[in-house]
Amino acid sequence: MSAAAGSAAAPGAPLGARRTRLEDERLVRGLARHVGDLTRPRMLEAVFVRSPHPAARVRGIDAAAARALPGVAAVLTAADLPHAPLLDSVRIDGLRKTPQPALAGDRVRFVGEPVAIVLASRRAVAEDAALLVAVDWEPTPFVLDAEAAAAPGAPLVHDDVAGNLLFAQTKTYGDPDGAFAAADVVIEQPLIGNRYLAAPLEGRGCLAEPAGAGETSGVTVWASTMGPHLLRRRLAQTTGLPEHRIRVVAPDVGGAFGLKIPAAPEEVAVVLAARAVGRPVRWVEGRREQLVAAPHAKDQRIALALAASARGELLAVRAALTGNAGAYSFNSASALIEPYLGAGLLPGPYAIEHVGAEIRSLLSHTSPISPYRGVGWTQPHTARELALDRVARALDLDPVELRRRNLIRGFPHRSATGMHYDSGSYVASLETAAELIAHEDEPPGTGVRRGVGLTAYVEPAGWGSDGALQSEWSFASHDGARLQLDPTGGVLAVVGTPSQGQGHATTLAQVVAHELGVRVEDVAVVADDTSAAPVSTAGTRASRVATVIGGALALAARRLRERLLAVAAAVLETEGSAATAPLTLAAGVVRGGARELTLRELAEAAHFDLAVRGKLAEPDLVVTQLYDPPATYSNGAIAAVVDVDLGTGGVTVRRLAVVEDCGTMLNPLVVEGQAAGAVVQGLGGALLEDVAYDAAGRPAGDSLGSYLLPCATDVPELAMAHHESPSPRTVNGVKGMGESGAIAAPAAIACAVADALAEEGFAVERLPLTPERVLRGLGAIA
Amino acid sequence: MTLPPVAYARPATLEQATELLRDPAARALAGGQSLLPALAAARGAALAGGAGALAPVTLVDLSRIPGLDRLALDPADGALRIGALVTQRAAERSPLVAERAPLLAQALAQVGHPSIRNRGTVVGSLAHADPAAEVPAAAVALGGSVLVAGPGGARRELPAERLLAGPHRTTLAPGELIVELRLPAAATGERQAWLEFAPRRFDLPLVGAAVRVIPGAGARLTLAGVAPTPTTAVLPSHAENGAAVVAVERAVAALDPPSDARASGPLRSRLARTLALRALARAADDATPPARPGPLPPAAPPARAGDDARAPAAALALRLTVDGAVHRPAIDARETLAEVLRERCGALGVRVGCGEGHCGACTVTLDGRTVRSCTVLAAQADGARIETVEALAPAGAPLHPLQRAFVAEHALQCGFCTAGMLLSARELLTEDPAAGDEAIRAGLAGNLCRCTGYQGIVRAVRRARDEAVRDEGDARDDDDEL
Repeated sequence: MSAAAGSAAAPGAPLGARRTRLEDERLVRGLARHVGDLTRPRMLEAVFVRSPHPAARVRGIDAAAARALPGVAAVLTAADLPHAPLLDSVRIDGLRKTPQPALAGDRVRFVGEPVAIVLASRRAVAEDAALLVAVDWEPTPFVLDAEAAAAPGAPLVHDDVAGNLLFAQTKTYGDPDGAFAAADVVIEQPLIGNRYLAAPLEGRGCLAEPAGAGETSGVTVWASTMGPHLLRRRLAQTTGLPEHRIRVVAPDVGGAFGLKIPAAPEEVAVVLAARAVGRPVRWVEGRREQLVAAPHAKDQRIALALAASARGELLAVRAALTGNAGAYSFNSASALIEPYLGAGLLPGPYAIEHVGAEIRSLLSHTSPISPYRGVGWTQPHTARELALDRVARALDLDPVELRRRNLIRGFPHRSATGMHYDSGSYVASLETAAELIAHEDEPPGTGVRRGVGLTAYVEPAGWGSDGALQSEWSFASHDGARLQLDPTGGVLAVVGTPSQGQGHATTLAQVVAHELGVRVEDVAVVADDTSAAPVSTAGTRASRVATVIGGALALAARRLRERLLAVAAAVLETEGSAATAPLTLAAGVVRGGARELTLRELAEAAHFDLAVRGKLAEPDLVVTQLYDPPATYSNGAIAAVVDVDLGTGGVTVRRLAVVEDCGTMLNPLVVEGQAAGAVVQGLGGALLEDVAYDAAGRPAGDSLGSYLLPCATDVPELAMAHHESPSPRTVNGVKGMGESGAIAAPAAIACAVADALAEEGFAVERLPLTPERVLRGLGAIA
Repeated sequence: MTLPPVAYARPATLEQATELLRDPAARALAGGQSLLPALAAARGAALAGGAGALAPVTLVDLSRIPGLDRLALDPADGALRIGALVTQRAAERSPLVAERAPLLAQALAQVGHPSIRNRGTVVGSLAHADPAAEVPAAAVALGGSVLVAGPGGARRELPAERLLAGPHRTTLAPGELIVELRLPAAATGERQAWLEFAPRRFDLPLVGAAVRVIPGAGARLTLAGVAPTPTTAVLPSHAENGAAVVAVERAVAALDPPSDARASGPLRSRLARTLALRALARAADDATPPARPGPLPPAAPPARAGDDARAPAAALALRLTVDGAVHRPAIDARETLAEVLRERCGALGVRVGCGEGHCGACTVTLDGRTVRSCTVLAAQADGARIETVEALAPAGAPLHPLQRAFVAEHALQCGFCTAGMLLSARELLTEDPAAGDEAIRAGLAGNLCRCTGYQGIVRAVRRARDEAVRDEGDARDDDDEL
């Protein structure tokens, strides 16, 4: 289904075409190369020695036995690798700083924090040696959750952060107190949001090779990263090297979803170690290492209240949002991404004029919280949508009708929290989702309850600096792109935002092909190398590549197109044959009446024909273009039908429907793939995934046998539909997408479970909805 | 994500094996689908901020001992005899098992995933003695016994419930080895059912329930996951019968199931009650519980003759055929097939996603069947023919129909899971060319994808299936014309 409303894409045009991906043949043949596939001469493998304690002093490290093992090149600790610590980089008043060392020195703050790096010729030997490093630990008291961390007398994670309080702020928009006082219905909705994580199939990792010597001394780093320039910046800050001596290359990356935005302390340690020993060093993260020691995500504790009138108008929303930041505020932004960003989106797609938020972020002795798809928004969205369904129940209104009455209809719309929603299909998307989910279905069996959940969402997408600012987030998010026509007529698009599976080699090529008038196959997208690409200050994140980099490339292509037409005119003039008609460029051919010039001919002439070059005002087929778009917002709706088995507590998702409106689509096939992936990650967060620290401060979900990712049998076939409301503000009306399922699918599923069990008096107040929680909530087990 | 140092021995006879197993550090290795993940997990946990070094292990590879791969009926008493090397997959798909012990066939279909069952053995799972696992419960439920070989040619037989001593503990003495599992013939008219529950369908169950309804003798309920070993109770035979409910509730009330990170005791009790009643109803309902007939997978190659590697060794030389090319790597005994393929044979299309057999990314085929190369000891693959994703379409050749379908249906994003997914899908369609959606999802449930939500993958397998059917139809039409 498609309800295109004035898309920039014309039928048959490359932009908006549903086409298969250029990158796929290489991938299905098994020819991708990830960090773990790369080797360099004399390379060493790195393995970290990690803390088994959530909090401890390090009284000493004895690595003699490890060093004595044949094949071990070095065992290095913080004392061997002086460096500046990693620091969060968001400038928000009142945010306390928590410097994070690459290797912990005298103190560890979470299970898995590295204290030493072991280098050996083979990984197995490095692992053997790591297990031989004897650390003299002095365990100290620890605290794992935010409430306990806030309690008086709680052990401090950082001595200079009193009360473990990283940040606290009360935000008020409008008059929430007045609105609550005047409300007919007030619903309180607590929600303990789970701590879960991106868990891409390829873990983190990097290979660092010393480069240059003396005054040119530097390093080349191949890293599984979403932001090569971001990593380069952190490496410069920590190692003291200037950025032009650091080259970061992102080879094939096996998924990321936010996890690979921050610089890993391990990446810094690997670079330091490689420089210390003067040899290439590779680190490939193990799965348990990732689940235990890599940053986790989400983990907000929420107390939300929703006020409504008897007629079903949503009047105000208020929420206390407490983020468990973990042990350090992560470096490429800060731990505020969870509660702080969550606060800004409390009204969501609804016209709620009064908003109050109490934001707190607390340190604990757990792995740091960093971005994961739908950062900050997922859990407040879930709480608000659960509350909405309860308002509907209280007013005896259809939950879809309640939403319909309150969704934003007029655009542009300025939300209570200061977001400028540019365009959208808020009501239409909801209605389409309701249609998709309505379905003749066999009735549930005995002892099975069925429920429906439907949620509308808005996704702050396509983040440039303005988009960030509308979330009250000061974060430079501009990108440059370089476009060049090479002498054989092929187009090179060089950008600083690598793909981790999103398909940029195809979608960005579609943008360029469309604007320039060439075939998609004639465009090569290069996005992997800081020494080749213009600076990307934010990297591949926040659903921004289609909008920001796509926009930069479109603008560059328009300029390049003008230059190509000028070349064509110069060629014709040189030939003494003037064009009989205005020059056009399409499908790689310039036509001007009878004469046709291929891109190859043009490129050849522009580079090598001195007579032609002499006629060109800009004899250069390289265009560099910066773009930092205004804020834009995607929207849509997600619906779920679940069955809950009262005998087992098992929740089966029978049906899922997704309606996505991301403005102009670059490629519907890719949009649908991104939407589906995000929805299923949301399903994991709603039903299966939980890090769940145990009483000793270790994650219970420490392997893919105990941290449960959704399998093919956990997921039904999705029904998917599109609306297309181009942004009036961005180049080509592109908005960006990819996070909606992660934001809203947990709400759809949680609402469906609450609906299924409403008669049993079950209230969803904690995720994931495991059999244990369902049966406990029903009173079926003690 | 490597294994701890091991010594490896490959005895050619039972006598050599039992002699080697007298060493308390020795462990018998058949398919390795319980033992190798456990070794990898212990080491991985230690490296991820856990405890220190692990005790050294000697792996005694049984795979070259002749005669242990036999699955047959004992002509004397009609008992089913399942040798120590019979894979779970072979037993699951054996008409003999379907006919004689449908409970076991149903239970085996729930053990992990096809690529695990292709390699894991029935007896190995029994010996692993996980309190929640399917095979030990099925063995107890069916009144099974094991034939045990000991040093000096000693033999003894003991009932399965006396073999199982507790979580991951058996009563086997050093030097002892299970040679076969014997399942006595079912009673005339007996009907059986196995049901289990885990948050994800093919995971190790939280609780499993086996029911046998024996005409004239009531019903027998065996529960897994509620006690250190499977527990059995006798019930009246019909679920509709209030007496059966009372009896199930009484049996469940008598339990004190353990609480651990996977489930609380009360949840296990609840599941035991639910599953017992449902299994009872199912057994009472189904005259012939479904045991999939389907073609058998390609026959296992005959056990290769044992060689002279009697003494445990830490290093050895292998011969492997990888995507058609012969390699003779010298390896450490502890290396997994995944490591050897990637690091010594240059097969970089093999991806390792977890190193413990959970994600399926490293799936390859070994002598024609999918395995998880991270949980295959490379030494055991000596002489084998391996196919990686690159075998689907050699360089320069057109894509395999499944690869084409994956591209057409956007069945991949980052591509990290794709190699394993393709090989699993190929096996799935080979064994079940008409696989419906449910079979496709079940067949691929062991291959995790984090990007696509499986939508494009299921569509792609469907497309390849339909194209194959069409091609076959076209071929038939051509025949007609001839």
